[in-house]
Amino acid sequence: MSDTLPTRVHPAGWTSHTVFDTACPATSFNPHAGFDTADAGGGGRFHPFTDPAGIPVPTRYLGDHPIGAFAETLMRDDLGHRSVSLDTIARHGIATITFARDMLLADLVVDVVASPTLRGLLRSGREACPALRTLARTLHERHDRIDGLVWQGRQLEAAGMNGTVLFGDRVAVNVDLIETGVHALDRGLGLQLLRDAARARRFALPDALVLDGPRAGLMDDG
Amino acid sequence: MNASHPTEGIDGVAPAPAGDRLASGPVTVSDISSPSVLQRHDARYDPDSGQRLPGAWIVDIVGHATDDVLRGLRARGASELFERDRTVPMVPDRESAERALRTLLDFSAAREREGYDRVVDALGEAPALDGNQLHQAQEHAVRKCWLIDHEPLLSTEELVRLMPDRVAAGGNASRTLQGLRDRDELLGVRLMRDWRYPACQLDARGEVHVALPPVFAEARRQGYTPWEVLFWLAAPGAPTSMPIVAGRPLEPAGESETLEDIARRAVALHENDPPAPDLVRPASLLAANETEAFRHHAARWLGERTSVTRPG
Repeated sequence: MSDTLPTRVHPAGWTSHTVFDTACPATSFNPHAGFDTADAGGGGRFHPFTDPAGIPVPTRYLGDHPIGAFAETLMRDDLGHRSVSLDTIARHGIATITFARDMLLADLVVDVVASPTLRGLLRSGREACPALRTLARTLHERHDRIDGLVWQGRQLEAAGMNGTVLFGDRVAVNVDLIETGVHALDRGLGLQLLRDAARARRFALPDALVLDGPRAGLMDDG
Repeated sequence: MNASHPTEGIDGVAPAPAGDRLASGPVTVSDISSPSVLQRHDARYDPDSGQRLPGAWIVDIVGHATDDVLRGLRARGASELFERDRTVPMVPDRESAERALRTLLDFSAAREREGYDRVVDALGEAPALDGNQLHQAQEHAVRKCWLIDHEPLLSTEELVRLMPDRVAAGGNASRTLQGLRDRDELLGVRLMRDWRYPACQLDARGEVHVALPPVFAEARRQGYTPWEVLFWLAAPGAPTSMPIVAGRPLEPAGESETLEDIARRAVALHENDPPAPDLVRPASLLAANETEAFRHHAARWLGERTSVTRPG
């Protein structure tokens, strides 16, 4: 590995949060195989990209904080709208993930003086995604020991609240990652976390999930 | 003095019907507000001589207190005024007047307590919104304002003129429109007490676009409000069909290449890429006759397995 790549280690026992499609386990990776190219919501900051053999590299996005996990999935700036639908909420959950081994991560937490271009990309919207995907692909190709990337993007907007993306061809599902807590988003703690994140990210939630009980219908005109 | 003068009782000139009546027990609103009592307040002067009558100060006090009570105010200061006017020669039925005043003040206090109780009860039953809910209420309000400002909303009369074959003008129009709304064949939003109909749901013939009723029905089934449906329909949110730009390989440029170097080269590599796809309004997809693109977007909103994906 080149000495010029800054890295950091998230040790075994490190916990992160992830928002995941409940059709698959929270520790699984999105294979990005056959993703819908007509769907701008299907691409993200560091995906899709392929390995040297042309195979899409699966990814799993994590946040140090639940809000960060939402910020990198359902509440991204690059979605173009600031809403989360009832269907999306019903199909997703939030989980706590614990690392079962040390994870070596390319450290993209940079300051603007040292890396103005990279810093600018990380703080930009969806127009920066193609360049960031190329950056991810380049680092993945050149540094075969790294398990992923860690960065502090504009979506997190809080010091010390970083995002992590893990590469699915480097991290073993259900071996390197342990699911230590799962919550549905449409009720209980998961719904509270969703509401917290929506407020922090200035997203709108469906009325049906905002008010309940005697408060229902407060925003109706009728 | 006129024998029927209402102050007679207070001055002791004649039996004191008012004092006796007020002192005989708790007074009621109907007692206080009866015309005879109110008229008494204006009768402080002798109609013949024009002179202020002895004991008129008690009438003033009772009158002020009564007015306060009737206005829902506390009869504050009445007792002080009473004390200050002790220099005025006592009248025989002062005790009655005091009792009358006390009754009035008790009544006033009871009204005040009742008012407080009502406020406390109302606060207890009022919706308690936390910060997250307040944020959502604000977001929904902002969206509603945006729609009102940007989206043409037709009145019932305007809609009836556009749909003469479906809605007959006259008394049955409201019922007909309610039927259309109930069957999800028409989207209506409530603005204060009136119904408004988004123009963007209508096609060139003035009919609701054929692709919309299944969307309205599924959205209602899932729990969306008409305003939410309208926001989805009218706000930019549907991506155009431009392919996603995947990450491309960068050739190595030496061992000393830094992250910043890689970032610069990545930016340069994508400099001539087509711009990120614009977002369009789903309603605009319908207007452009891109019905399949509309259905695709509706299915992304409401779920892939819903009936909105079926060709209509």
